Amino acid sequence: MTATLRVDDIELTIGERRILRPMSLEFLPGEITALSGPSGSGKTTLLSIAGGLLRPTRGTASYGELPMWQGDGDPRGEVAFVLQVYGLVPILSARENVAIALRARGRSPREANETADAELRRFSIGDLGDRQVEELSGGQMQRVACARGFAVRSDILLADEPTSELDEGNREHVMAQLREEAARGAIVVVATHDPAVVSRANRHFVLDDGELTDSIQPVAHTTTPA
Amino acid sequence: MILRGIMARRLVSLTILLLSMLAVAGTVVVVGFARVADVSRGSAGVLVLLGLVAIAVQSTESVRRREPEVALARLRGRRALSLLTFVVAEPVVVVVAGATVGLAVGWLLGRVAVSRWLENGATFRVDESVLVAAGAVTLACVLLVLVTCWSVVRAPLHRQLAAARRPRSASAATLFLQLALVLGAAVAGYQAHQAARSRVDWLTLLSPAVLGLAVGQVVVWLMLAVLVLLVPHLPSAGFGWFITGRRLLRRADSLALVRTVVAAGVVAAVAASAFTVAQGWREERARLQVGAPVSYPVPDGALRAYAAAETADPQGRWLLPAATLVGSSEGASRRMFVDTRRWGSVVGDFFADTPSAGLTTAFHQLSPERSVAYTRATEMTVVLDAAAIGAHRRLDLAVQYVNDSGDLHIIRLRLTGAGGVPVAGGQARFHRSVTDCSTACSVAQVDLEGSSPRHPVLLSDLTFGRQRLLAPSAGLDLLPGGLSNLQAYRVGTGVLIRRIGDRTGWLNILGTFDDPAAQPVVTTRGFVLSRDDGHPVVAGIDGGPRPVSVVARVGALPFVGTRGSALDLGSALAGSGGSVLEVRAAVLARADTPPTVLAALEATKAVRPPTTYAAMLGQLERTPRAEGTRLYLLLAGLAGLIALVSVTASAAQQVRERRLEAASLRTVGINAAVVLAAYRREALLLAAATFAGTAVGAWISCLVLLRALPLVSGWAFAPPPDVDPNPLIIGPTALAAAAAVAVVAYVALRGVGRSSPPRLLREDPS
Repeated sequence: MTATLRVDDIELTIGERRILRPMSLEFLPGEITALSGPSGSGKTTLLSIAGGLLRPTRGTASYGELPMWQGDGDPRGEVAFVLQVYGLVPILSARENVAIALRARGRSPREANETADAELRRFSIGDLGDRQVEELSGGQMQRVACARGFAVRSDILLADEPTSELDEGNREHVMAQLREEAARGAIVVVATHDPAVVSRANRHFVLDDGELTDSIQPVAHTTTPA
Repeated sequence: MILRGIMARRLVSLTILLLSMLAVAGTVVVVGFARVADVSRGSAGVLVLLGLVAIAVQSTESVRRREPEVALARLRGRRALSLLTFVVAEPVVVVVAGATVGLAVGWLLGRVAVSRWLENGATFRVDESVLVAAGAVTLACVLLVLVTCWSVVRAPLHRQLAAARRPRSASAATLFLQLALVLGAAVAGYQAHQAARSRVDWLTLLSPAVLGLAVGQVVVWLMLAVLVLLVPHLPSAGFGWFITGRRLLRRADSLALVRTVVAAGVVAAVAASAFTVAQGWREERARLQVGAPVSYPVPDGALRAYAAAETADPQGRWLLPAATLVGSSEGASRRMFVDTRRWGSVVGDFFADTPSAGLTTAFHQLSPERSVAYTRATEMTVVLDAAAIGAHRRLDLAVQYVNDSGDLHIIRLRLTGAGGVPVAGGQARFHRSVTDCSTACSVAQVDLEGSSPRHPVLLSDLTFGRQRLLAPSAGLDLLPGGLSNLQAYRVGTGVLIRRIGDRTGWLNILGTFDDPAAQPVVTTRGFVLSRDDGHPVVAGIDGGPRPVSVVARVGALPFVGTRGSALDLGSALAGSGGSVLEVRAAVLARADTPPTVLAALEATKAVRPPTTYAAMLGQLERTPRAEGTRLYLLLAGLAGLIALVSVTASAAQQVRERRLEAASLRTVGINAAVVLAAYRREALLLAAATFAGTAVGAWISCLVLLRALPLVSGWAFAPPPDVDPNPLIIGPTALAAAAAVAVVAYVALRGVGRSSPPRLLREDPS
C-alpha cells in the first residue's frame, strides 16, 4: 500500500454556491490526516469527493492512477467509510451490518459473521450483535459504524466525526483503532471537530467556508507502514 | 398552522382525505340508491369498514411522524386534552374535508348510477337519511383518528424524543384485536351461512370485509412464520434474498399492506360475484321463460302451433312448436310439450351452462316415430262395407276432431237402412261437411254404434278432407260398442288409427302397430309424478291422464322451471281431445331464422307478435331487485379504489426510507442493481401473497356469503342462483389485487436503486 490518495485542483459548485474552493491535497498511507473546521466548512464534502461519492465540478480525486469517481456515486472497493450519520442499514442487526460489508468484498457468510463478531467485540459491543440497529443508542450505532468501517481492512478509511457520540473512554479506543489502521499502511482521513483527534493526526488540514485555510504537518505521530 | 402541518405531511394527509372521501362517497351512493332500488343500505358497511381500517393505518402513520413535535409540545407543558387537541386537529380537518368532498362525489356518482341503471324514472336525492349516514361515517372516522392519536400521544416521552424511529413490537391490545378479527370473521361467516336469504342482517353485509381482513391477517401471520423459519438460512442465498427476507420480517408496514389489499380484494370479488350471480340467474330465468331466442305466441292452441311450424318450416330447422301448462302452482300439473324432433336444430345450445343444459340429449329420447296427423278439411267421407244389415238397423257414427281453434268438435252421422246403408252386402258412401278446419285439425275419436258380430260393419275408408285416415288397403272392423279413444297417427306418408288402452285383441284393427306401454317423459329432478293404478301418469295436453315412463331428469325445464315434466308435443297431440284452456302455445324460433321463414310463419295467421329473449331479459333487468344488485359493481370498484389508495400511499411513504437504506447498502459495496432486484423480489413476494390471500379469501367468502345475500326474487320455480365461487371472477380479482401491489411497488421503487447514491447519507441522517 504505497499509493497515495490525491485531490488535484478540485472545486465544487452547486448552483451559485461554491461549496469547495480550488484545492489540492495528498493523503499518504500509514498516516492519519485530520480535517477540521467549523460546521459547513466543507469537511464532509471533501471526504465525499476524496472517497468517490461526489464528483467535483473541477479537478479530480484519484488513488494510485485511478480516479475515485466511478460515474455512479458508489465508492471504490479500496475505500471504507465511517459516516457521521452512521449509514447503517436499519433492517439489519449490528452483526449483519458489519458482515454485509465483508460479504460485499467476497467473504463467505460464515467467515463474515465471525469477523463481524470479532469487530463488534473490538469496539466493546460484542453483546449487541443480534440487536437491530434501530434499537441501539447513538453511541452504540456509531461504534457499529466504526466496526463496519474498520472490519474490511481497506486501503483507504474515511471517517467523518467518528467520535462525536462517544464518551472519552470509547473515543480513546476509537483513536487507537484508527492508529492501528494507519499502522497497517491504510490511508486514514478523519473529519473532526475534536481537538483530541486532531492532536493525534499526522497531518491536519483546516477548512473554512470551503477553502483550505491552514495546513499543519506535524511528524510526531508518523507511523511506518506495515 | 394546521394547514402548514397538512402541507408538510401532504402525502399521508392526502391519503386520509382520499380514504375518508371514498368511505363517505360509498355510503352516500349506497344509502341514496337503496331509497329507490331494492338493495340494503347496510351494503355500505363493507366500504366503511375497509375505509376505517385503512384510515386507522394512515392516521397512526401520520401521528407517528409527528412524535418529535408531540414530544416538544409535552415539554412545553401541554397535557391531556390540550395535547390531544393539538395532535388531532390536523387529521380531523383532513377527515372532515375528505367527507365533504365525499358527499359531493357520492352525490355525483349516485346521480350517474341512478340515471344509468334505473329506468323507473327514479331520481337520486341527498335526503335526510343520506346526510345522517354520511355524518355517522364521518363521525366514525373522526373517532378513529382520536383513538389512534391518543394511543401515540400517550407513548413514553423518551420514545417520542428518540432520534431514530425504533421498531415496536405489537402490543397486547393489537394482538387481541387481530385475534378478535379472525374469530369475528368465523362468527360472521357462520351467521351469514345460516341466514335466510330474505332476512339479511348487518353482520352478514359486513362479512365480506371482516372475512377479507381476517384472511389478510392470516396471510400476514403465515408469511411471518415462513420468514422466521427461512431467514436464518438466507445469508447463503445471496444478497438479494438476504435483503428481501430481512425487510419483510422487520418492516411491518409492507405486510400490513397485504392485509388491506386482501380485504379490499375479497370485498371486490364478493361484490362482483354477487352481481354476476344475480345477472346469470336473470339470464337463466329469461331463457327458461322464453324457451328460445324468439317466441311467437299462438292463441289457438297447440295443434295450430304445431301446424304453423310445419307449414312455415317443413325441414324443421328454424321453428319449433311448443305448449305449456303452468297455470297451477301444483308441480304435478306443470308440464310442457315440445316437438322434440326439432329441438336440437332450433334450440341448440341456447340452454348451455344452465340447469337445462342436458335437454338436447334428454329430448332425443322423447323423439317419436309417429306424431299427430292433422289436415285441412271442408268435407268428410265415410265408406262402410256391410255383409248384412237389416233395413231397420241403425248405425250411429260420430267423428270427433280438434278444430282450428283447438276445441273438440263432433260430426254425427245417423245411418239407417232406409238411409242407404246396404241391406245385404255392398258398400255405402257418405259425405259430411266439416267446419272450422281451414288451417289445422285432427281427428281425435271415431265412435260407431250398431255393429254386431252377427252383422259386422267394416269401416273401409274414412277420409277427412284430403287425408285418408286409413291406408288404402286397410280397413277397420267396427264392432259393437263402437271404437272410442282412437288416435290418428302419421306413419311415413300414411295415416293410421289406433285405439288407446284396449288390448283385448279381438278387434280386428288393420294396420296396427306396436305401441309402447307408456309415453316417455323428461322430468325435473325430484319431481314426483302422479300415479294411476300404480303407473306413473302425466296429464296430457287435453287434461286426460297419459301413462308415462321417465327417461331422463334435468335440473330445470323451459317454461315450467324446476318443477314439472316434458313430453313430445306431436305424440301428445295425437288423439288428444283439444287443449285445455290454460295451455299456452307458441312457435319458438332461432335468432337467425331467415325472414322468408318468419314471413311464412306470419302468413299462417296463427301467431301473434313475438317475445324475444332479449326483451324478457330487459324486463327482468328492470325489476327493483335487479337494479339494486348493480350497486354491487360500484361497491367492488370503490373497494378496489380503497386498496389502490392504500397501496400507493404505503409505497410512496416507503420511498424515502428505502432510498436511505439503499444508499447505506451501496456505501458498503453492494451494487445498486442488487438492491433494486431485492426490492423487486419483495414486491413480487407481496404480490404473490396478495394473490393467494385474495383468491383463498374470496373463495371462502363467496362459498359462505353469497348464499345469504338477497340477490334474486320473483319466480318460485326458478332454479336457485349458482352461488358457487366463480374462478372467472375470483382469479382476475386476485390477479388485479396482486398486480396493483406489484405495479405500484415497482413504479414507486423503480428509481430507488439508481437514485440512492451513498452521498444521500451526507445530507439526511438515518
